[in-house]
Amino acid sequence: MKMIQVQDLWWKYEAGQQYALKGINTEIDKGEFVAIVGPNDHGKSTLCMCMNGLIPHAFRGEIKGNLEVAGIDTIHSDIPTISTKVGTVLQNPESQFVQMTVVDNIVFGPENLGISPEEIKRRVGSLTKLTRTEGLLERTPDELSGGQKQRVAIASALAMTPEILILDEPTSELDPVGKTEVFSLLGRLKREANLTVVLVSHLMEEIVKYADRVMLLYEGKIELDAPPAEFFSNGDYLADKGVELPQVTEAGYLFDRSKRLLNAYPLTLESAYNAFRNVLTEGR
Amino acid sequence: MSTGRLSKSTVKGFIGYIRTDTPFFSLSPVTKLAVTLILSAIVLLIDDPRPLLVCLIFTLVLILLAKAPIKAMKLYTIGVLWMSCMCIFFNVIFRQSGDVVFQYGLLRVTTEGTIRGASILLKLLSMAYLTIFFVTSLRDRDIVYGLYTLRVPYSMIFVAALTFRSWGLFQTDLDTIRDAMTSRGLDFNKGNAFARAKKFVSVLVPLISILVKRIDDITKSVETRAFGSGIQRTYYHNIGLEHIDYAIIVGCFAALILTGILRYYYGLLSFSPYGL
Amino acid sequence: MTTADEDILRVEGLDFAYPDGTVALRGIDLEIHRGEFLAIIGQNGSGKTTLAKHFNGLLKPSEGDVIIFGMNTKNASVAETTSRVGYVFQNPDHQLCHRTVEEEAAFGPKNLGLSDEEIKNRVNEQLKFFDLEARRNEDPFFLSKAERQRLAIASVLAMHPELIVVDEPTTGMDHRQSVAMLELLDELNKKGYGVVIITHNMQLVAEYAKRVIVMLEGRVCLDGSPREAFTKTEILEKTFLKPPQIARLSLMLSDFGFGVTLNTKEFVETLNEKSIGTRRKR
Repeated sequence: MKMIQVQDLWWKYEAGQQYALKGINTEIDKGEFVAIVGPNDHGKSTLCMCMNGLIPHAFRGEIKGNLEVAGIDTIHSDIPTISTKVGTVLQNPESQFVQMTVVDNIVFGPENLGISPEEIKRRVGSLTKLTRTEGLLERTPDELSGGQKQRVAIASALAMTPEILILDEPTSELDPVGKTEVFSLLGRLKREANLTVVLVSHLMEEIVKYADRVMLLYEGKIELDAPPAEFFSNGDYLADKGVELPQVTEAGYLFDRSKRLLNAYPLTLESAYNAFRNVLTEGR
Repeated sequence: MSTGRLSKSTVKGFIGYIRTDTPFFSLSPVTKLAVTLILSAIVLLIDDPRPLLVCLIFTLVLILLAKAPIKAMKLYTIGVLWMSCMCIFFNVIFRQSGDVVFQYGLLRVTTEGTIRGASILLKLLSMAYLTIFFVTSLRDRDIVYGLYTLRVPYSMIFVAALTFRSWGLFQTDLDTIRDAMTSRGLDFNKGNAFARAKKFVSVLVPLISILVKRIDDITKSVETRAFGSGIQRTYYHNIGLEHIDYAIIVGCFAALILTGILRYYYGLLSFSPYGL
Repeated sequence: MTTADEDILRVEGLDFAYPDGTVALRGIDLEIHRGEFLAIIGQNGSGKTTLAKHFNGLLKPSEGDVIIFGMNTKNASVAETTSRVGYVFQNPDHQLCHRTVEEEAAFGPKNLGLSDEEIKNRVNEQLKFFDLEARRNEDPFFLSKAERQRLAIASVLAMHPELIVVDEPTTGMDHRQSVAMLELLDELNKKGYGVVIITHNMQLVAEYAKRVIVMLEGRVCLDGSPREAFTKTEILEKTFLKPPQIARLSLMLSDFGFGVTLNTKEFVETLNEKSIGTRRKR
């Protein structure tokens, strides 16, 4: 069974002049880590909100097509039901902190679902370990850094034991330390948790480390969808669409477009070092 | 920052932290609220300065046990003394009956005035110190936990928690907006009262727009965590009352009833011993 | 009259502590010259914003002096200093308070007490430069984030400051918008405005800033060109800041004669140069 299945999905906000999503068709398997990239206001957040049910249940507009997450038809279900399968982490670390202490914020979701206190306690135990927030439980939000707050936000979303985790630009308001904390956590989630992850981000250097697949959302349509190596080999096309490449990939692309000297455009710093060192020592 | 024996409390910036190594810390917030309200009611029922003095000593003991910071006591004492000065002034000066103790021109101090004045001062001081006790033994979150215990509807509890949590953000936003206005040449200290009020209004517009956007974000965040699902909510924290809580609350009520009986059935605790 | 090389801003022995006692800045000494493009970088809490707020007199030093265009901020009112040093806050929503874009742009000049004629000229000038002419009568609340950011800068520039401080100009922007914003700031710099940006985006710093000040725990731990700053890896490690990926790559290839390259174009040129020999051999 596909974890997320989108069939010919169209969405227009009530106040919008045109459709924000135009016939989205895609499938995501269980355990896949998919990164969604593209210019701002081209549908990335809109697609995320369709996956967690905010669209169409919390927004007014027109929807067409089908969307299923973990077997639930999002269009004909309700947000609380979907929330047991889909966890959401948003951009702003402050607005996701809706209670007075870290532990209160983490247990907020399960409490809303009527989960027993014993079960909630068990979840808090394992989640704080995973997100490295054990020492922060009694802290108030003004005692936490941005990175810590976002880790709490991730723990709070995971407290609902979802099968899918959606993160919409989770690091764009964080400083470099915070960004590193969040991406390390995503790496741990990928290795240890059995989650399907959908990440919207502009940080290409990090995306290539974790994503199984990268999807370009441009003007409401999926224009490109491929594993990172293949995705980032389309240098001109991506530049045209306003999507930057990881710098090392761009270097490979500019240096050797036809790949006569390199086997592939390097994606990471390490592979770039190896590739270019070879060029400098052996000429290939 | 070691917060071993300190924990953040209400009235941040004024008192800041409460002590966790006092006998009151583990009591339910409802108990602390009950003690404050009931003892205030008892103090209000008593007029005779002598039993009032006993009450004041009792409240002082409470505060000492709660390990309230001296800073808080100083501020409240001065505030109360200032307020009571006015009451005492009017009582002392304008009561004409009773033996005259001291006279200077129109200023006439009588025994009746002195006794009534003392009564008011002791009542206000007691209630002020009870407030200190309340504020220094409760953190923001304890107030919210207390609301759970009292079975207040969850929507109200949520609003209370969110308000407490957002207060700091609100302050920061206000400061930033003022800085942004000042950075474009708006001097908040110039101009008459009307001009200054107008300037203050220009701060409200960005504040409200930020508030609206934040509410939108918060709504998305809580909806995706099943807020408003209609399912019966559970509570992670143990928020019930213990035996000791019940004992204290019942004890306070008993004291209140006893005071009422003594006052209205037996006529004690009033100004009658002084013939007033 | 100041000459081209003269300092427009001098900071001498600046120490600053907030009212609650937290020390935010320690012993800062620096000079900013006319027409510089400078980036202040560092983790949150390192003192970047606190330092920048001294530049327009919003904050006054606890110890030491900040001298802006010959005025000591301790003796000048904020209104005096803000007309010469503009400050654009990170979130434009903290600034925008009028019902139309036009009124917003006119706010600064109005506070300066300029004539209606002059205010009108300045508003037109800024709306044109920032491509907001079409939005003149719209409510700022409904503009896109990038447009609001441009409006915030426009309304500060309408006061014709000689130095402008922009706090995090590209947060939440995509690549194209970020580049457009920095191109705009670069154009202003070429026109003679001094530009100070506070940012976390090391790629943009490498591309546009001519000077970088790195803050750590309230102190300046590095002050030099981006190229110089990126070679000082031990210092940067302490601040948890990483040079742009391409700079790190070039440093790794230093054995082959690579210096620090600031962008991919430079890297590829260097790579071509250094590998010509080996490639010819094949």
